[in-house]
Amino acid sequence: MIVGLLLALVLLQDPPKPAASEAPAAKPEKKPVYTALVGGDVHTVTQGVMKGGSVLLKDDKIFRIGQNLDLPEGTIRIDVTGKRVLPGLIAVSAHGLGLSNAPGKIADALDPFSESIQLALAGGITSAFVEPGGGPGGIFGGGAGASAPGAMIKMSAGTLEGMLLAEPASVSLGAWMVGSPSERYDLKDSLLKARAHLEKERDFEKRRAENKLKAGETVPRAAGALETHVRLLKGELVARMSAPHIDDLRRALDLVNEFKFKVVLTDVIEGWIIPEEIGRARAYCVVEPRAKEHAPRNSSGRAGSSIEQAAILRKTGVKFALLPPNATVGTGGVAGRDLMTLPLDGAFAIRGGLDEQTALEAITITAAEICGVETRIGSLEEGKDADVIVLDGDPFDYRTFVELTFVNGRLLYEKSKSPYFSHLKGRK
Amino acid sequence: MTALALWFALLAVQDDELVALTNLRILTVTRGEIEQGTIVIQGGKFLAAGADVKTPPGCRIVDGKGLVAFPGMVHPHSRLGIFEVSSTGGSTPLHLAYDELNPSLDVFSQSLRSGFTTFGVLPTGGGIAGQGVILKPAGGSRDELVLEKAGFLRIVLQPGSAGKEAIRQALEAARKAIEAEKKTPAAKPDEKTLPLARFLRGELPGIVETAGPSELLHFWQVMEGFTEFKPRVSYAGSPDAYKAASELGARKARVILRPLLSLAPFTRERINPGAELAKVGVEVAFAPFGDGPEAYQGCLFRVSELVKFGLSRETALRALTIVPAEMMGVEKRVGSIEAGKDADLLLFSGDPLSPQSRLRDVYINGKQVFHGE
Repeated sequence: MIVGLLLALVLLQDPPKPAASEAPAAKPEKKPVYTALVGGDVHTVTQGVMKGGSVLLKDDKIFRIGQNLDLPEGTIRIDVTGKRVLPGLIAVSAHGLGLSNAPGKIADALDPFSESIQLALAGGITSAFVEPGGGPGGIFGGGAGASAPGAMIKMSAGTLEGMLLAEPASVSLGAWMVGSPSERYDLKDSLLKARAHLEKERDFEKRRAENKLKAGETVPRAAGALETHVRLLKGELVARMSAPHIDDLRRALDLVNEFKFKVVLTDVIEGWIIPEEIGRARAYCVVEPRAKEHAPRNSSGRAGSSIEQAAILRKTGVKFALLPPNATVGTGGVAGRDLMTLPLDGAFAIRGGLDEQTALEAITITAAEICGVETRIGSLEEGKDADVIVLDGDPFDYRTFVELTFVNGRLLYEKSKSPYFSHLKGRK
Repeated sequence: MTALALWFALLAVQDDELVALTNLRILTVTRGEIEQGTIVIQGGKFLAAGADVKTPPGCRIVDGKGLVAFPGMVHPHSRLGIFEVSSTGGSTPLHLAYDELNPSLDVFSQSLRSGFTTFGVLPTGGGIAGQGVILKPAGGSRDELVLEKAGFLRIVLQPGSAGKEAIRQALEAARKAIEAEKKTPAAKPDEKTLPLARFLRGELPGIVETAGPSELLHFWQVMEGFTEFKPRVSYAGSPDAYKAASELGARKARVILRPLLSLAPFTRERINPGAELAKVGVEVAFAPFGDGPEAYQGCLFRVSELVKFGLSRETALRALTIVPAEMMGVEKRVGSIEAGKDADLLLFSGDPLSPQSRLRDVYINGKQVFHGE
């Protein structure tokens, strides 16, 4: 934490001048801060690998990527020869990461001083989808999911500025999956109303284009839950549905096929059996390659998990993100099974036949797409957010460590200075 | 022996009698340390204090050789005399800690030996909890105890949207009242809005309690909507406020801490939160861990430990006296040994931060209220 704060201070060329007592710090005219990562292998994810390239950050954005870049005067130059430079990793679900356990909006529960953020940064995670208390607990927890929508946050240690990326970032349709018949009916009713509302809006737009509006007519407005569902049907929001098994998957897909919305199926165990059905509905999946589940005896309905699930979904064209069995960070529990080693979930998917490029996408750009923020994060591209990590080896090798983590252009983690990790040296 | 003589001498002090305590080492807090000096008291106030103070004619002189004078200490975050259990939520700015006080409790007389002579007593509650009472524990009736009946506003920021929204709404109402008064002077803020209007105008100091440093950021986010005002705010409740040191320092904020060392996350490395904050220009006050003999008596010892681990001695001494007085807006009355201020005085057998020193005498408003062997 202290390291991060100090680094952040170093990066600020003009520290805020002391203001009058209790007045908010006056913002001085800020010169742009340039930071260059020079000489590493740049894994852009979306535009291939550039050997011995440089990534130039300008304030909180990626400014230039290339070989032999001209660095502006005053650029902070960091030599990363022999290292790999990647976009920050994205957790499509993280329980309690960077949040106080407060009810209400996530914007008001952000905890940039949380030690969980320090751990996430050490694991190379720069953004995460989080839900207010009581979110779905993975394959072990099950449950209807949080009642309040989730948000995308960044691991911007020490500051609220730039920490919230998107809120809401999801619509929970848990009622459809585990609700009572009347709750399911209510949900469907609301979606039908949303569809009718959407038609009204489209009709309005059409008549406006044709100059056929009545005098004083205004855009039809939806509020509350209806508004959320209208936005869902417009494709502005993504639904999340926990669907581990075939029956859950088919139940979820029924609704998706009827209303045609963007959906993320989470906790998926048996997607490998019906990949075509998932693909036809254009649904995204969240897969835990290290999750194991036996096919129960005396059941014709369950087939259990398969390490090949990710590879099978890939062959069918289904897009997915990866998660560990425990979507948390912490210093307790079983080592290597939580978000601090997210690339290892890629390694297990690769073990099951997935190609490395898709495995990398599944923890970066596809994860961003699933969370609706792919224009901001998930790859190294000029103009995107400066969320960058530097690794000392192959991301899917268990001996690899994160050496540097940047969020919004600020260097917030340095392994060599971390009290928890600096002494660890993987044997190569 | 000297101290005993002094005690008997002072028992006879009349309110307007001139008394001079000579040959003292004086830690004035605001005017430096005087190796050998004289303090003159009259009418419950310091008349003069310094190395070359002449004892006025007709003055009774008491020799304080070997003793160290220190101002009575100020406790900015006390619950002395109140036994309600704290509740959460709500917005009750009119609630007064004064109304909760039980003056017949013997906690007041017991606290006379604590070295704390001014207490900021918090009202029970959460959210905008109400107004604290500032008191001195010497006196018979409640009104004799009280220095300021409604001395400061206690704001408890609960984590989450509801807590922020409650504060935002209360401040919005206060702003509206202030603007209405500007237009029509007759339109005074109503009773419930007045404390918050006074807070915004800087007339009523506020003590803002947060569970952690992140809530400080959330509080400032709320206050960004009220930048035309310069309220007087101190922060309390967060032991790891040092994590927000750069922000607190940029604001030259005031922070109340418990006198305690902490550990850097994931390590056994010691952190001295008070020193970290003082380094960046934050004004730090130390409050004991609670109210009662153990908490009071342990306080100076704990502070001396912090000095051992890197806190400057000057910061430590200010943190027990003038800084908490400033937090509650009573710095013109108490918190240092200066002519014109209340004669609240401690006499130690040695340096107050030395574990070997004993508190020998306590004076409140010029009257001796405790004498130890």
